[in-house]
Amino acid sequence: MASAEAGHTDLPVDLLEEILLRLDDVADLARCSTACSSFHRIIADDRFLRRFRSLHRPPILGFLVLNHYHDDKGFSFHPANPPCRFTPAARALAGAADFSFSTVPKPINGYDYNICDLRDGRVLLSHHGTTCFTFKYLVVYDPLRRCHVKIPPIPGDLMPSTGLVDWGEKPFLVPAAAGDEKGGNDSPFQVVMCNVLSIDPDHNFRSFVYSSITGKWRAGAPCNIASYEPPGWFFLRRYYAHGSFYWVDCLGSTNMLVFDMSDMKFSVVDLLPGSEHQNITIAEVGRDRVGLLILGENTLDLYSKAEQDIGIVGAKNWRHDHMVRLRGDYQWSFAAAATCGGVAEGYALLEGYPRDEYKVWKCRPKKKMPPSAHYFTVELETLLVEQLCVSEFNVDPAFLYASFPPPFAPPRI
Amino acid sequence: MASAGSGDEKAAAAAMITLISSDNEKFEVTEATATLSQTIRHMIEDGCTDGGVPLPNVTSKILARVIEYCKKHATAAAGEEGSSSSFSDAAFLEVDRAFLEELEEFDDAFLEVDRATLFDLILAANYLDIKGLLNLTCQKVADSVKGKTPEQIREMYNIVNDLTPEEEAEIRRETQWAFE
Repeated sequence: MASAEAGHTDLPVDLLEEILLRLDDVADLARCSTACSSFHRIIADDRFLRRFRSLHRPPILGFLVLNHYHDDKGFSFHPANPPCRFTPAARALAGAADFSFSTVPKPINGYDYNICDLRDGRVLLSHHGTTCFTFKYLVVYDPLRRCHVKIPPIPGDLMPSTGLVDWGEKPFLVPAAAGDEKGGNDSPFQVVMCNVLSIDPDHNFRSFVYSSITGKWRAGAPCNIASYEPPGWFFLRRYYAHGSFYWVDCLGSTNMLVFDMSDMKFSVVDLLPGSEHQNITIAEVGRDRVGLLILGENTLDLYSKAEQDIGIVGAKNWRHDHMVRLRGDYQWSFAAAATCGGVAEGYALLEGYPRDEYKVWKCRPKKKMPPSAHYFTVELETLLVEQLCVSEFNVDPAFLYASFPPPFAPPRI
Repeated sequence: MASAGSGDEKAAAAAMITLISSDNEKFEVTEATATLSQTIRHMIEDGCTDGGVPLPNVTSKILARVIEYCKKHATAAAGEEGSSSSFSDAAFLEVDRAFLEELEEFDDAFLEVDRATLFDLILAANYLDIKGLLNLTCQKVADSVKGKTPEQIREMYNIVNDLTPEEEAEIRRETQWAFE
């Protein structure tokens, strides 16, 4: 008899918490919170939400694009759309967040901001018109809370005497090291700036790191690597994985430049032999592995290497983890392979065009609207490919946006 | 004692623990089974298990189920340890997978209980500090509300909606996306 059965409310609060923590989908959490007041109290509690977020990865709700080639449009957020199961959550995020950055004061000369990086629901913006390496206008923005924090310029005493120009250079936005996490609401971040594209005549690679905890910049010792000659910005792709930064020359170099934050040193390490002329992406895989994704015509291969083995020469320690076949009727590419973006929170973004439409358009690009691009997220540990959205053709870097929908997203600044 | 048993028998006897349920039923279990419970492990370490371990919070019906779970999982753990040295890697992986599959099947069947029993198992797992059982039972409840509406959740678990209509409307407004 139903009335004789025990109800949830017979369990003590800490056990109800244990149950609610095990809900995989944040939508289930939302529905549970409207069941009764004790559920709502538990779920609305900050401490509970922090635990929940530490156990579950936020879903990818869309991607952000800065439309370089359609200047009138500025920034645009492309939310998940049907049949993606996160469509309603993505719509809620798009409705609540400000992706036009309207509350960030514009610099005096009227130039707009540029997206340098996006991670953990925070956007790093720099000013288009900036010509000085010190970055007078560098802003970290939380689109959901619509607030920003200005990053001070790199102080003059940290700068080398030879003037550096940042043309094309973009700083990174990364979480502060795990040990720095204070457990507070504001998860700390770091802004990392390297002179890879504007290297000085002595061939010294330099690094500057700003920490939101100290509010200060620090400079790494210059690293002289005469053997590495960076290509122009258009041919250099950059990635972040587990505390290191990777610059890969897409003209076919067999090695890549790596900057490791733990010792603030640059090094040149070998790519997986044979991967240099392929379409590749570097990404975080799991807790401590660096992944190398290779996109073939209709295949996607994942190789990975333990983070500490990155400097080891050759194919050694590269492990072939998975291979998946992609649909044959699509023309595939990594979204945002150029320069940055496209990889976040354990996912990569693939762009697919229906092959027939693409062929027609390629022959007569001026006369016909480009075909719609279909975007797919790739879960990096399993290579599970799922459709995120269908969107208009775009050629600009896409920054994946992973977030819990409101009200479960934490303040980021 | 009429006669002393052999050494082996003594060792076996020494490794048995008596658990006493709230309704005074006695259960003899091996130490390996009992120590899946951190609570009992600590009692054994402190040497306070002579004359049996009274468990005033656990009925005989629930204790029998908990012991069933611990026996299976203790055997599986022992089996894994034993097999690791005597098989080649591939064979070991094969055995390992077979064990895991069997355990999974056992767990699935074990969870086929009514809701009241499930909650009693959660309470017992928490009291006895059996991590695996607590995880298993809590996950079962969490899985059961997957995709359900608040009304269905209330009905499933006899939850009285004590939110005022205004409060409910406010929470729903904040999380409207979860109802689309």
